[in-house]
Amino acid sequence: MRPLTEEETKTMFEKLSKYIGENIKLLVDRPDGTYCFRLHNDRVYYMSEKMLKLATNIARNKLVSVGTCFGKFTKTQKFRLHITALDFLAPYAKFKVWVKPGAEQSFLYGNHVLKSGLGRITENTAQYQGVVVYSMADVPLGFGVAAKTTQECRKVDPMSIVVFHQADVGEFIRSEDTLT
Amino acid sequence: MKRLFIGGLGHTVSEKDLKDRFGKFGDVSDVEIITRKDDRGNPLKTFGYININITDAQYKRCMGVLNKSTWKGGSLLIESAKESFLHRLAEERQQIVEQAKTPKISPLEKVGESLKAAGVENFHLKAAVPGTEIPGHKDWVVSKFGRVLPVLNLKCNGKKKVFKYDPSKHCHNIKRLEMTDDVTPVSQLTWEVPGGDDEISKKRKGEFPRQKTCPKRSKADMDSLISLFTQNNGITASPFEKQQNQLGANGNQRPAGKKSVYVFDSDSEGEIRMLIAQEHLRKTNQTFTEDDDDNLEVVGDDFVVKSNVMLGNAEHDAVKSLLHSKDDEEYDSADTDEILAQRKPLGADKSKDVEAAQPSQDAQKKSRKKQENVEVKPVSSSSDSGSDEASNDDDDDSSVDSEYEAMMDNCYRLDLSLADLENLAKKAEVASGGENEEEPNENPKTPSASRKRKGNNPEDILASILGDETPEKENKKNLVTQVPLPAFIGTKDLFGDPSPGPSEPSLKRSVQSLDSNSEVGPKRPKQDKPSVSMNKSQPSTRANIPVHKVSNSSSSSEDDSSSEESDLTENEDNQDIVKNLKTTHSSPLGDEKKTVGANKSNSPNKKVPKKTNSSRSSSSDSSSEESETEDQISTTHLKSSSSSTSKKVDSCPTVFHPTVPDARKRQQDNQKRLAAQEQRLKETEQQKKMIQGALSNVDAVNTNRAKHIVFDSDEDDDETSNKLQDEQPASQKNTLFEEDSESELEDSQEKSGGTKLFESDDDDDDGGTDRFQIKPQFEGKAGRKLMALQSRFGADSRFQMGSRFLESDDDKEVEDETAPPKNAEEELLEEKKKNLDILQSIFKTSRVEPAKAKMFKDVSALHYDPTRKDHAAFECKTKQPNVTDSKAARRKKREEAEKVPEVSKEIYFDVSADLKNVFGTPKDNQDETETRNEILWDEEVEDQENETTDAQTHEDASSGFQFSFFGSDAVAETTSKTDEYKAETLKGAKFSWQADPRFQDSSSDEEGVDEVEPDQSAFSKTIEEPTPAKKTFFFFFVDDERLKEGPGMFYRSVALGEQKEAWEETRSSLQEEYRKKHRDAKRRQRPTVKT
Repeated sequence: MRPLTEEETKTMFEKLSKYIGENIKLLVDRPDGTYCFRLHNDRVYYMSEKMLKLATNIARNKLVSVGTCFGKFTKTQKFRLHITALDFLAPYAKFKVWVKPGAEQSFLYGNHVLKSGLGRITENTAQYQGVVVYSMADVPLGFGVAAKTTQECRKVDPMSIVVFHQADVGEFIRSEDTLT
Repeated sequence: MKRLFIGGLGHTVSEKDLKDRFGKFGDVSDVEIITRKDDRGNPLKTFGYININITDAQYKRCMGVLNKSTWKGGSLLIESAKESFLHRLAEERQQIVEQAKTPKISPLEKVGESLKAAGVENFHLKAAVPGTEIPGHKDWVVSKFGRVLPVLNLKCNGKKKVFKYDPSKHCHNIKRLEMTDDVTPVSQLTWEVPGGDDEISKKRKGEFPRQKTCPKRSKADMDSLISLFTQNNGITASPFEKQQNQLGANGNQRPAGKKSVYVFDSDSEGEIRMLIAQEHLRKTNQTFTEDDDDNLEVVGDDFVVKSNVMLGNAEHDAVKSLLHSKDDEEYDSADTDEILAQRKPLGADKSKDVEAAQPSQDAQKKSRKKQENVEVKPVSSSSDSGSDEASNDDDDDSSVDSEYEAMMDNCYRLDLSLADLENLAKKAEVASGGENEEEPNENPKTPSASRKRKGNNPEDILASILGDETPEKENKKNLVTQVPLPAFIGTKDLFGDPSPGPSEPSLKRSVQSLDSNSEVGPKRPKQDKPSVSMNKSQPSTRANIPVHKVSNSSSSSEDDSSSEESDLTENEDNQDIVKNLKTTHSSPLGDEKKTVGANKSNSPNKKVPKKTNSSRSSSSDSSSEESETEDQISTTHLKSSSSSTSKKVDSCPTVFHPTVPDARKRQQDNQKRLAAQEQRLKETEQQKKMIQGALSNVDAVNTNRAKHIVFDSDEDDDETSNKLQDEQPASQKNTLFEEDSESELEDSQEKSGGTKLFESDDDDDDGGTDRFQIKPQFEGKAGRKLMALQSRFGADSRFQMGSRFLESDDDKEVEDETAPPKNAEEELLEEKKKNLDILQSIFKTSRVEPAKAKMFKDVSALHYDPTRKDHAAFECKTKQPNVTDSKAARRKKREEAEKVPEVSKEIYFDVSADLKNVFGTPKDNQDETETRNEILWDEEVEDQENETTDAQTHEDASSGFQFSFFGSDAVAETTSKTDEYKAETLKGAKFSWQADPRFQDSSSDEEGVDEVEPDQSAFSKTIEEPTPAKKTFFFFFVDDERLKEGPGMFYRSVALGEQKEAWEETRSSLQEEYRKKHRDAKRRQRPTVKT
């Protein structure tokens, strides 16, 4: 477990900023204590200072997970967000998409969100903007990338993809073994 | 009306021609001429059709006259043609319309009717032999059963052979089928599948039900469901899981975990339904309604997520249980602790928690009096440290709690995690619980005690947990929490709580629990026989003891709001108990039995006097006469503990044999819970007060007893140790030892665990001086470490820490210890800063763009503010004219600078003009030998040359001028000023030019030559130019040489052949040259291209 290098931090922040924008600041500079990002097994964990200290007692090869896993660095040094980061993305998300109850399941099975399943969307959503997907009851279900702008969403036919699926809470079950 | 085909028409025939031509024979109505053309458009063939009203006679005549006659370049061919297709079509349509008008009669009916006429009814001819033909109907025969059937002529496909099928000949093959009454005709058959309203059948039919909207449930329903669910759980759960249920009940009680508990308890259908109901409630609560239609809702950036799932619970609960929030946390922790405790094998307890183990070991050390290595003071200090640590931990825990809360405030799934924990624990407990509960059965000793031992009545535990707060806190790591709690109640009873309020519930509780015991008692047949000795030399009991002690100490710290003394005594007592228990451990079983027996006989009422006893004994501790009194104390405490445990154990059978949920009992429990909660609140308040008081007391103590000598620096407060060192740096050990006995009391008062040192359990206190000597290896921080190590290993002599274990580099260690945390924090801060920097760098780049995009400049609103620097751009620059002025000035200056030479030129020309005169005069004077022509010529030349600026004459003049310059010094001096110069030259010219003899002498020979030469050249020219003076052209003169030479330039000077040869000679060299140049240029270009 080690702190992130500058480059890694930048990569990760850039990725995070697609979803929560400047609100990353709230993650880094928290009023309720010192929180930090740590890299372990190519994964980035977000944890409190306290937890960090506790985690030092555990051998590196024995340590499976600490704090919240935000995502992992791929072999090409890109950053990929995991569904576990949803807890921190959802409250700070800038652009949101709500799916209708009928389309919830489809999304939770890993499918893209179609226009027909789109219940509500934040205005001025740009294309390829990172969005957090909510159910109509405001339960965060996952996140993805807007395939169309809000304006385009009004026009397109019902079967066209509106949001590209990236991660959903169904993964907690589907990829239970790899999700740390 | 006839339609005629007329072929062989000429190309030029028009429709009108045809009409006219045939009009003779009849009325021509419709003429149509068709011309066939080849691909180039040339007409090949022309023919036509006409409709004509013609009689047959006329037609024949027409045919006779016109057929095969030549007309307009073609021989006519007339034939009658078929009707026009349009006409035919119209006729067909008309027919159809007519047919439609006439009523339809199906052929079958016709046949039927006709058959009827022949005596056949419904295709049946009764009493007819098969094969008889129907009269009047060909191809209809009677077949078997009197049926009338047609004879079929079947034609084989592709063959000409026709097969005739006569039904009468095959009638023997036919069998009559049993008639079924209700035969549904095929036309009425459908795809419908029989099978009622089943969902599956419906689905088979292709009807899918609409999305079901789940029925809404009222909250009351949910609650009832919950209760039902819990009850069910309670009933069905195995005895070992009962405790877990109880935990669930705990969870029930706290509002925070309510939902989550149920969510994770099981997956029963009712559960799911309940969840759905919750979901629906939520939906109904929503302020806005969802759009079911396709209208897409677009939401602004500031749309607030209601987040009723993630944040909702926590917030709601926070609001709900603002007061109890902390308690809840503690409940949770307590729960988890309990769970852990149950999971843990009891034997492991001792080795694992240091806190619990340390005191017990101290006690053990006492019991083994022959260990001389262990000295009183270090031990006391260690025990002190134990208590200190406990208190510290207390503080830590509380602080941790607050931190934890703060942390959890931001996390949404608090409930979830806790529930998970519980779930986990439940699972593990099923496995480990067996061990726990089985253990007591193994040892048959005193039956009553045995029952007491195990006591895990859920209600009691709950009550005890509720009743006691601090032990839980402390015992977060102390794994056995349930056991000591009733003991605490006992002590409370014993020592008399200063505030009567809280004590009442506790008493009540005890009574209740007793009641419950009595109630439950008869119901358990099995548990009567067995038996566990309470004070067994078993790991379980041992594990209990430290906890017991801790709880006591904590309770005492809680209780004593008023006096320090009572606190002390309590502590002492507690430790005594521990010790005594230990002794009983080590001592033979008989002793135990005695004590236990004594305990048994004791009733709660008797406790009070004994307590006084104990207090007395504590006061008399210092005088070291304790053995007997201590025994008493121990008995009392044992009794209290036993009684307390008894309650529990009595209630335990309920766990094992869960009965049908008793409403009354539940009510009781509820009451208990409520009471306990109240009490807890009060206790927390009390504790706060106490802490405050204690803190102030501590300060006071420190100030008062500044001079008191404190034992070794193991766990002491730094202040006191510092003072000590200040006072007696050198002879610390000695003084310590000497003053030992006197300061015992005070020390004991100052520190709760102090007296413990001097309570040697048994008689053999021969450890005297040796024991109380401070071991050098236990000094300092390293020494403390050693001490801790040793205490962990216990009183085992094999693990005594000698001085060789002492680490030498104390200072370094200190530094190391102090340094890393700081570094870590600094690092974290740095990291944070760095992260923020990176963040800024990211957002500076990305932020600027939107800012630019969004910037809106209202030009009309723009006002010039002279104070602002950026508004300087709007200022008109007034300096620019200045600059231009200066430029003009510069130009002027330049002009002036340029003018200066011009001026001199003018002067120069003036001079030259004067020179003419000058030259004129001296020549007259000087050379009389030269002709007048010369003079004339000279004048002329001078004039001409001045204007044409001929080089030669210039030279002449300049040379002359120079000459004159150099000739006279005075003249040379005055060159700068024109006026003077003129005057002088005039002057000088008049005489000095020739008149000065010195002039020629002074000038060098060369100059003389120069002077002569131009003169000669001029002279040579003059020879040719005497005439031009008469005819003066401006540029040329007559017989100008230039004119002669000029045309020569237009001719070839050399012959063509020669020129050619010369050219060819030079050409090769030129070629080479240009090639070389070309190459060079290329070479030069290449690197530039490369670069």
